[in-house]
Amino acid sequence: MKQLLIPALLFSGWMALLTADLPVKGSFLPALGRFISPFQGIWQSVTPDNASYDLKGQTTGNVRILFDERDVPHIYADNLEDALFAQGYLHAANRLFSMDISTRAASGRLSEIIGQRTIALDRKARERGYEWSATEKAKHWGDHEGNKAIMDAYVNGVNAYIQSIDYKHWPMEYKILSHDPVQWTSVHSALTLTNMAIALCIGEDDLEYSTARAKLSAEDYAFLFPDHNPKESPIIPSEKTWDFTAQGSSAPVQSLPNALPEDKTEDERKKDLNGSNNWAVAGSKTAHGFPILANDTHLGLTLPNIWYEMEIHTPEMSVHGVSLPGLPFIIIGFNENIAWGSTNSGQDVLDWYQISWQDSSRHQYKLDGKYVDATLRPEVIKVRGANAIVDTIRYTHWGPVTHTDEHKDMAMKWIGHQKANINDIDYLKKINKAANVADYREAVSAFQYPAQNKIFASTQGDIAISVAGVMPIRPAGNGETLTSGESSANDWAGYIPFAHAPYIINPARGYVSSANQAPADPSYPYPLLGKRIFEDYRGRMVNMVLDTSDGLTPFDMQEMQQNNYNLHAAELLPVLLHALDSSGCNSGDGIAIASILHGWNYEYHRDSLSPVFFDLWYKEFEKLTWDELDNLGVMLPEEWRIVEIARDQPQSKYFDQLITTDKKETLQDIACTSFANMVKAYRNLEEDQGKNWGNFKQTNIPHLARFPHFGADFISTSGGRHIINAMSKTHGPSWRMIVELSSPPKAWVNYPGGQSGNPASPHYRDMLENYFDGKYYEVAIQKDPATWTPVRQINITPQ
Amino acid sequence: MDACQTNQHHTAMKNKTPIAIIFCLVGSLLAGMYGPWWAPAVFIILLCALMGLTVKQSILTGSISLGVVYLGMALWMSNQDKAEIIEKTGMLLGGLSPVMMILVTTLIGFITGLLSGWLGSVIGSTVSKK
Repeated sequence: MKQLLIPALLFSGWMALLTADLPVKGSFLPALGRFISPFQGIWQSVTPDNASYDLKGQTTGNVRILFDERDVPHIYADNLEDALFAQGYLHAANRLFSMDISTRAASGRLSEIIGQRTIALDRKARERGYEWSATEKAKHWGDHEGNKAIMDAYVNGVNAYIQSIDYKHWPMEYKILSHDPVQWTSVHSALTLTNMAIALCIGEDDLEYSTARAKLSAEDYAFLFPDHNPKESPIIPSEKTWDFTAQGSSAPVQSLPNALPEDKTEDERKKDLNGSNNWAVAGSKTAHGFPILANDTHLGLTLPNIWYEMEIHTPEMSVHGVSLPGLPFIIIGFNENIAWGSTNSGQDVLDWYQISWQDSSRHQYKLDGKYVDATLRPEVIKVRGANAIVDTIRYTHWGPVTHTDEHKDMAMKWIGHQKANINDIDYLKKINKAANVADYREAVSAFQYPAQNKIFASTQGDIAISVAGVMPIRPAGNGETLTSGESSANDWAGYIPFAHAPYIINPARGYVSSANQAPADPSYPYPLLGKRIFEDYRGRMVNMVLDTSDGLTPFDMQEMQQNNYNLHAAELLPVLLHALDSSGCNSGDGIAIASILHGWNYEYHRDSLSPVFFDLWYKEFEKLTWDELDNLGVMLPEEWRIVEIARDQPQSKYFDQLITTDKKETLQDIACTSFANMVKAYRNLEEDQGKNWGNFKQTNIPHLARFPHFGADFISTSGGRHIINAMSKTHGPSWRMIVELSSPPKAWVNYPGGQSGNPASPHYRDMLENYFDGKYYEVAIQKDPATWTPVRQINITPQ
Repeated sequence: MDACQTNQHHTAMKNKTPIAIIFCLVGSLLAGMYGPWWAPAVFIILLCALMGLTVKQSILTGSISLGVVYLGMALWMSNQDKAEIIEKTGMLLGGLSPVMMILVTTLIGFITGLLSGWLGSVIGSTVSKK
């Protein structure tokens, strides 16, 4: 027996080593035994799973799924529930890891699989109660007729795929993270919605406004942050009259302009924003006499893409478009009668309230003159390779209270928490089946949050746009800044009734459009918060192009989606060049650069050098102009404001530099200094980066989980900020769609990525090249499966 | 046991090794394809124990067989996509090249086979002594 001891110990030790995930530099090496096994592990992930096969499913009838050459599935089912079962199955088969990671991000459960690196993210998600609101939402879905069957069918489809795969067939990300796929529930689907709501809910700058109000004089504040851009071109044209008066309280309330955060010099506006473009043109303005609808949704780009394209046929609907893995139905698309799309409205649906605790235990807080109990909810954050973190989140009348970042002891009142008992599946159900403008309005009345600009066109010739989603009515003066949480009088006074929300059908100008700009002009009876969230230039540009166009074709719409004209540059650069030239300060290399800029057509083309010069110059100019604000830690005004001041007030005090006490600078001085700084900055660029705009911008599309090498590393792209083609470094149009509402409708689509979430699949990124070359795929609804030949197919029969 | 019997025994034992390797190659391939990742190791333990191989023969049989099976499978799979995915995965795991990934895989198969064979041989001899 003694001789058995050594080999048994060595064998056991070796196998134990191969079975354990090993911590390495704050990360984990997956258990090598199964991971490196050529029969099970990563080696098996090199084969794409793109075969045809049959399976038994929880359906009542047969379902056929036919795949076209781009691997876009066309589901043919006898009833809606069977179709949604198939949709859930396909989502899991192609995006399981994406679905998992995005819901983990929202629920604060990333650390369970990643480790200590994501604790701060998880803590923030827990503090903000996202999972709690998703759980409440999922509970209430069943209250509405038909929704339970819909969600059950979808969830069963996801789980049917999860149950069908063993380790060998896991998505490779699970193998790398050594983490099992978990069963899907309707709470996960609710978290998918929550995750999108978080991404699109941007109006979170109450503290920045508080700081600005406290540190600037009332006169300066009004000068720098006016409510409206005089040049703005709102979504609803001025022909619309508002035949109602605003409901709700108009009594001013106590806001807290003096409750300041630590100095924040980071300008939130600089972040890439989840904006979008959409427009619909009436038949009177098109070459073929049919309305045309266009939509491109701007989001952070990843591989795999956030969207999954598909077509669904049931006896009650035939619909094509993009779905959001984790949710049933098509999110943006078209059916046989209508097309629809969305942009983010950017309305402020999140407010911060300062909480006054009774003592350091933070169990009771002051409300309406007395101390009331906070509801304590324990949260356990499991951390891979470390002890779990136990936290207690305090829920107040206003919402959950955060205690870790600059919002310390502030309660978050968010539309997502207030509207848990809602039927947001209803919107998707109705819009997918809508046949006319009345159905469309009925559908968008069910849309909840965050507010979006829902655009519409139909084969009957109608076009429309609605600002859909619940928007709070606040007491006067509330919502923009941090507010006192001591009085319930500061609370929201309800929501703008759907009938009062801005919308227009068949406007006289022959088109509807939105690019995240202001929904309506100042004549709209309700105050709408959301200035400074998005820039106005894209919206103005879209409307300028459409105002001056007739005889439009789908090809013109494609060109327009890729329009690279920068209106901001067109309005500012001549002013700057004039100041520079008239000062006579330019010399050396600068003369050649100024000459190039004089001849520029303001197009942000990837091969052009001029955008590099302008971009660098503008950054320097902005930095020098707003040096006072930077010094105070005050947010920067909207970018149109600096253009107006430069054009109209060249002697403005804002051009005077803080660092020079003996001189009062003017626009000319700032133009000269910033231009010289730009020339230096350009010289310091790496050689390749200074060649053209595409090289300078360095667009790349990372892998969803930021695994290096699984994304697209460098792509030379045109477009940028303030431009209809809003392609930035890692952000841009995530889905481009143009639909001509002929009978039947025809569409042209593309998105940066591919249908498969498997990096080994030929469909992982097969649309990328065409996308960046500006090419589209023509699609039409294939109602009869017998009329086309699929590349592969999956047949589902009842169990 | 006289000298003649000893020679016959040695010859018989020698002849066992190639047969054992062939069995082991086929068996661990099948075990790997249809069982969990550790199934080839269990198969090698059983084979070496049941065939009554010496420690030296078992170590040779196990290590060569599983090493070759792992190497062959790794080469076969990496050929499916010109090693693109394995190259990216290797980069993720600290910058391993595809060749290094193949070598690491082979080495793990080799050591697993070696230890399995050794253990199988010792189990076999322990059981037969009893």
